[in-house]
Amino acid sequence: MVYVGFIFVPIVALVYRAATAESLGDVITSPILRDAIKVTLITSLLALAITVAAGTPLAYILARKRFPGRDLLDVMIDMPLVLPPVVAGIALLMAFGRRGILGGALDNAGINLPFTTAAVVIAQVFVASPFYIRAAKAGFQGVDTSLENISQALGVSPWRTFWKVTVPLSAPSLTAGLVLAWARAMSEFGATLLFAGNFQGRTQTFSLAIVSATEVNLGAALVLSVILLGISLLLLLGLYRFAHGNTTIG
Amino acid sequence: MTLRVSIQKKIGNFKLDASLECGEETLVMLGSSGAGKSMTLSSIVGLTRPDAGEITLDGRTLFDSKLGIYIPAHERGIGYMVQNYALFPHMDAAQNITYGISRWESDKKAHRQREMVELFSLGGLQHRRTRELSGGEAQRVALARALAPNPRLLLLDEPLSALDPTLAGELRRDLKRIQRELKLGVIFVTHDHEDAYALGDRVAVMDSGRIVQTGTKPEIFRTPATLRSAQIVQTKNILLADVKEISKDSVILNINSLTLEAQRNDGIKAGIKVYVCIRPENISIIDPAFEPIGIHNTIEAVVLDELDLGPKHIVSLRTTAADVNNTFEVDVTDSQFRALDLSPGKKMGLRLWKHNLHLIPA
Repeated sequence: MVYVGFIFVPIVALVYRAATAESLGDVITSPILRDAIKVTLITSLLALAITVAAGTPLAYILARKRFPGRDLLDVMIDMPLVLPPVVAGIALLMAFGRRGILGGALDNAGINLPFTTAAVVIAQVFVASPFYIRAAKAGFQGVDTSLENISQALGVSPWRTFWKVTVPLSAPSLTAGLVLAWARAMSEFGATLLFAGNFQGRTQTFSLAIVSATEVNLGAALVLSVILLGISLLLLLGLYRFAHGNTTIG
Repeated sequence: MTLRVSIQKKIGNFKLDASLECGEETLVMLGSSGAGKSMTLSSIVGLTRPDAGEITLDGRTLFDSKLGIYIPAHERGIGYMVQNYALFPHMDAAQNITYGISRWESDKKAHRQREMVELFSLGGLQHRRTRELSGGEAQRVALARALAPNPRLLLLDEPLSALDPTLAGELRRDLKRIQRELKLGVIFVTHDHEDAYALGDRVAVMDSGRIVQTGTKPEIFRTPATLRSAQIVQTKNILLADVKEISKDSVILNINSLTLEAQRNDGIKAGIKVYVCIRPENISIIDPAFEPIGIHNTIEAVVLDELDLGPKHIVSLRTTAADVNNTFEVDVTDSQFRALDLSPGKKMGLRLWKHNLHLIPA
């Protein structure tokens, strides 16, 4: 009971104060909001696409193969989960920043990552991909290998077997991982701030816009917060509905 | 249809070294779990890569370690079925059946599906989810799925062990019929000697990664080549004896004070030790009140206990001679059992027919 109150009171307070904020109309029509939505959606969807493209094969290999260094790799992938986001931001700077260990090479290639929209995407991939990879790995592990074996014996190549058997049967886990990773990418703050900065229309995502707004206009921050809360809630509901809908199929 | 296999593989301490041939017949691979039967099958189907050797199917090389040939499973076209059936849970029965022929033209595919549904009496079940199928139905769907792409060779890995005996019996009949109708080569892996009896045209006995004996059913069950082979085919009664002398058509054996006469066979010489193998169904229990005991391969024995299996009883008896301390296991039909009134403690006679004693040099 106390716990439920503990979760609900701040959320209710947030919504109440936002609804009664004087600047409600100003914020909703402001370019800051429009830009924040645009940057957040574009970067988080890009981050998600990269996570799926690179994370899916990795999750499959971790779930199916035994090789030296596998456990180490497994732990490495989880590292961003326990790393404070600010530390992640500094780490990214040290790697890809102008004075980072890869910075010189990137500079020579004419690529400058820090404080660009690309940097936002990198930061999001860094912090969010473990959520997807973990879930995908668990999903793949839950698929009986004898199903994949039978599929191949029936003349279906390993690649098509993956799409016809492995993916459909691990779909609930893959979706859950996607939703969690997406939510994490959208709410990313610390790493983005340090590695990508806070420039409206370029690197200023929702979370960054909220923090900026609290410094000048609490009402605007409240409204932005409620919008982000609404998106999170929609994602979570979608996830539950999907997971529930799938229990009847198994 | 001719399959030739000669493969070796080492995993940890386990060494697989299997050679076999299979034509249009049912070859049963019999062995206890861990003998390497499943690994042999999965090597043939292309899911396990042997370290060395060759596999050819109708002249086509599927694997050759020397030439570096390894055809992947999906290009081998071998039917394969496993113990848990591995039906795809996200598809219905019909989708499972047509899984391996999904790239056929839709007319041909629909025709083949109808054929399979008919062959395996699956009418009305096509749109069932796999979870809603009974064990026997799931088994038939799995078989229909394996055979839909029209393989010449079908590999079955312990397909009956998850079924109750009635269903297993039905499936044995189905399998035999289908093997003949479709002129398939079938390799059937099992640890159950009854499957081997019921299904095998030939039987290959596997032990510790090696095929220790291959032959017809009578050869395998009546004349196992090694002690291990005799144990795997459930010979049950195995006695160690000295070969006393060999005459024109007999071998005279001594087990301490007991003398037995067996048929002569090659490889048995006077003075060596042999294992005498007698199957439980090949011993007769006789009533000492009517027949003399102690001559012509008869022994006095006391009934220890019995296991009632309905139509047959398994009776244990212990020899009474002080220096021949042996327990025999004898299969008795229910009517014989009641006629002889075999209660524990009763003294009976055992007749070991001369032609039923199989000798393996020890």
